Amino acid sequence: MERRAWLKAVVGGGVSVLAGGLAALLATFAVRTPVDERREEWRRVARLDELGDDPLPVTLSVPIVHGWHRTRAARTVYVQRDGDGVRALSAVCTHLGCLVGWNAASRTFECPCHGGSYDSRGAVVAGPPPRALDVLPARVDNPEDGDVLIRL
Amino acid sequence: MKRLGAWLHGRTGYRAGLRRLLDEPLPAGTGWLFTLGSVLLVLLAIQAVTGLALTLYYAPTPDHAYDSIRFIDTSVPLGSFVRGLHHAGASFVVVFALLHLLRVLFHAAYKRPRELTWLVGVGLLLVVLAFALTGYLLPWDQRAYWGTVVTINIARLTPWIGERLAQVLQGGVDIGALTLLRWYAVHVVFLPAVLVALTIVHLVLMRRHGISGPIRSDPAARSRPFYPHHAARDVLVSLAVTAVLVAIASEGAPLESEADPTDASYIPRPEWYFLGLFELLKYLPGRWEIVGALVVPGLFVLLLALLPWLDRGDRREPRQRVPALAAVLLPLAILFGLTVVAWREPAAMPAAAWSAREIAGAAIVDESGCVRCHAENGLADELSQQPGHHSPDWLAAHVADPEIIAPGLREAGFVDPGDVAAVVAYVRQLRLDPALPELAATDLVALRVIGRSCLTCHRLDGDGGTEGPDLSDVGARHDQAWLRRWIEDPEAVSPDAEMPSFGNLLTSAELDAVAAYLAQRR
Repeated sequence: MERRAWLKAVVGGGVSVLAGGLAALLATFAVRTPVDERREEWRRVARLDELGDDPLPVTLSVPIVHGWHRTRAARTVYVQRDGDGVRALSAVCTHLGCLVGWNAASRTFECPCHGGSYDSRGAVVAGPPPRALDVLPARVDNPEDGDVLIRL
Repeated sequence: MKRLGAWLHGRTGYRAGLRRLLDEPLPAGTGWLFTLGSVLLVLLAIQAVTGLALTLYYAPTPDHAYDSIRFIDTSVPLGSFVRGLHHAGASFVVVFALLHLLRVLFHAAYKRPRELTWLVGVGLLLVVLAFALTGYLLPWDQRAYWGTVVTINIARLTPWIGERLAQVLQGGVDIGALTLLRWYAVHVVFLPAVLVALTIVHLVLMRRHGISGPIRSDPAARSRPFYPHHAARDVLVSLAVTAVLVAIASEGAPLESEADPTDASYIPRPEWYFLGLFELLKYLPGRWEIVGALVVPGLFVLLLALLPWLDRGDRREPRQRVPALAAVLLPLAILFGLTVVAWREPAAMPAAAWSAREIAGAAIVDESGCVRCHAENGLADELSQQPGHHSPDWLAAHVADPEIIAPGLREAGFVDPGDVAAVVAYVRQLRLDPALPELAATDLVALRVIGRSCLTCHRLDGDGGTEGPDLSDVGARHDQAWLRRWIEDPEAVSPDAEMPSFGNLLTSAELDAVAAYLAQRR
């Protein structure tokens, strides 16, 4: 039965190769998702002399690439002076993601959804937010022109 | 492992079923020819799995279908390979279905009591061809779109119900989003269901009657069970066929430029297994077209379906069944001959080489600073990444006035229509081939001028106006010096010249380059 055992091995091995190959192919397609194409970069948002006492809201159109689908999303950022430099805060409330607005009278960021409130540096003053507003990397490009850049 | 098997067997009794499946006694002398059905099953499994994989990334809408296919080819791990497998696999299925049919034909295996097995097999062949036809449209490139236009026009020839049938196939009055979606649905839901059902019936019937075996059994040979002897043959042939398929699939699958419903100059060619019918239509013009398109294929399918009842009796020797064999083989041979004839004809479409117009477009884009906005992470997407769904009209309006995203809101400023056409051609070409060809500097200068200015009236390589003579072989009629003098001032060469003079519009270097380039075109 030497020959019979050998034939069985051929069948078992061959079927395993075919089935395993197909399974591996499908798994690769499903699991190894394509590389994320989102790239952050420095974007010019304002000139330094445009920044006054109140944080300046800037809305940027950011490209969103998801596979074959390309679109743009609006991102709102508050830019303000911080000593010699600048600070940029994301306008997305850390509670549930609503957009906060600047209240010049109380000098706080206020979230319209659940009453979250942050001070001018983004720290939580009141309400449900679990942490301060996200700080985005920001810098002044060259002191003469005073271009304010943020990384988004 | 053994305990798990015992546990499973205790709950399901699977071993008895498995034994019944594997211990099928095969007629003595069942040889390698009887592996074709199993190979077909393996190929169908490959089609099913690769098809399933592709549905993870494919989007069946005209706006995204082409982009999603391109994405599969370029960005999905193994994407190009899987698409290559699915594309080449389709051809393999057709080939092995035909070989399997021929094997059964020669062995007269369709005779009583296996008529129904044969009939279901003919049905399966039609399902396979329907898969091929519907899958052809899905990449939404030029080939897909115009090939489908032909398919639907053939359906339109059907007497009485033709127009209605075409509308059902299109899902509307034209080929578009609804067509793509319904062909997709048919391809991935309806046809697989039919295929699985018919395959099960085919296999159950095959087991019920046993396989027919060789015509003359060798008295020395003895009947052996399917497993492991014949199963090993099945596996070895399947592995060999799969290896060839994998080698071919590693080349990927073809993808032309995106479907352009306005480009009626495109000459579609079907997939090779429909080429014979395609060639037949050339010989049957006008009102005879319906004969080649519907009557002949229809009669042939009818003949196949009725074969068990046309060729009755117990005789299995091919020599004793010449009429039956001839009835099937003769049409197949003619189809094969027509396929060879069509295959040898050069493809009517030139390769995706860069034309003068596209090269000129590249130059205009360079000068106009389009890349100020169309840059990586710029205000707008890179030109090579432009979504493919803008119509040429939209592109023309946008080129004339970049702030127009929705043409018609305001009048576009004036831009030379030749320039617009060049930019549009360039952007479309970029999606196909992102690298400008390497050209000699003077040729580049010449092609830029020709693409912007000359093509308004003249033709070059099939592209351009028809007021002036074709420039493709102008070098055979005039030498370089004459061409230079003519372009600079035609009336100085011949008083009744109709062409405007370009002496004031072009630099001396440009005149030299154009004359030199055209002189070598012969």
